[in-house]
Amino acid sequence: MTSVVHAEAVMGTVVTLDLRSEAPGHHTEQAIGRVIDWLDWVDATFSTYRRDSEVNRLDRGELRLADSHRKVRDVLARCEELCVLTDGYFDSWATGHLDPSGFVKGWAIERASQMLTEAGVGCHAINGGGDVRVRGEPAAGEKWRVGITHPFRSDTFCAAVALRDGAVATSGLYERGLHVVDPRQRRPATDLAAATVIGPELAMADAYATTALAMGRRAPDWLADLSDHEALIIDPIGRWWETEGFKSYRVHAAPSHA
Amino acid sequence: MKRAIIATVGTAAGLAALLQYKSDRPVQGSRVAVHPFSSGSPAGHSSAGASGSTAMTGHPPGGGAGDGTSQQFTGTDVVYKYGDIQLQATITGGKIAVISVSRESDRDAHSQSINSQAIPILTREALAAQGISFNVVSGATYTSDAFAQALQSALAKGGK
Repeated sequence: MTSVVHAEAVMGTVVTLDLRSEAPGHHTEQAIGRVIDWLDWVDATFSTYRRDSEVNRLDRGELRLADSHRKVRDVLARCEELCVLTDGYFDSWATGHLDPSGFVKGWAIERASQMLTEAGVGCHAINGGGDVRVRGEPAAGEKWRVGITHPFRSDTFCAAVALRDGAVATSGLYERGLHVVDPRQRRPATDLAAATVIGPELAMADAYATTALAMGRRAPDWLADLSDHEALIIDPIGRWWETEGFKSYRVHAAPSHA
Repeated sequence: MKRAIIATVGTAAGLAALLQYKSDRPVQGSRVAVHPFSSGSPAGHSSAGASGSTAMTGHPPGGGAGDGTSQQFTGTDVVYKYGDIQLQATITGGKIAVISVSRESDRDAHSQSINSQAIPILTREALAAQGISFNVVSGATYTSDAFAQALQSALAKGGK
């Protein structure tokens, strides 16, 4: 099994593609190229940092929703659904401006993973700034081992999980600081230091990890009721909690208390 | 827009890495490709995102992988949003053995906490790319772009 790793700075972060195959070649390069083109398009269309993105033009009222790209309408519709599904905690208007970033990155990487599979690279890991989608096996008979960065002791991992097909999304204070806003309080969410969600695909896992952080103390009850998703959350003084099914993904001992 | 590309091609038996970088900023020229590890690099596995630009290629001093010698390369300072970073890559037997942050300066207290959290994570991930640790790391990596530049710079010195 040969690994081809490609890292690209896009969407305000670094997206790393790790493609595993017996015989990588031209088709592998082509697949990477198409994925990068897709991520560049997503960035140009959805970025809140680019003045001329469709999202910013919608926010300023310069573009009507009906005139926006079909995928923009799809994404905003999914965000609305998530807002209902999360009791208002996932809110693409939490900052007062249109910002669907909490969904877009995971959604874009999920699509990238589909593209790689369609191109014949069924074994791969994609890491979008710490949000991870894996498929297939890194080597025959093996699972992908995913380290989850400790929220305040960055020289260590707080957990390690292994899986074949699925997504691992982590939302936390980490480097970006207080970037998740509690839409109800209209202030940065500070109850939790980090939330990791494992699920079948990255769009929802990513959105749920962001939601958990915004929910704070309400997160455990809400996460426990989710089907097909497992979670680990850690609070600012190092206490942690996990769903029952999270244990089955673990490959190492439980995280130590800080 | 800045853009960094790191591509690594590895096999179970050994490791051959290719690191490519391009940037609108004149850090190391507009685009540089470095082959710090020469052994067994399959032809044609360069990254696809690099199409359309001219690559400069360097080779490792002393013949590359497998000879067991250890060499250390220090990159130039890379200034980014939260300060400067400079990385040191130690290459032993053709592999990156150690990546250390040889210098980081901070503009304010906020940057201090960001740097102290971000850089060790990223360093570990670079090592992980060689199969030393996990396959993947979950948890944000906001300063990866600056890290990629700094690492490229350190490895570029190994390639000259």
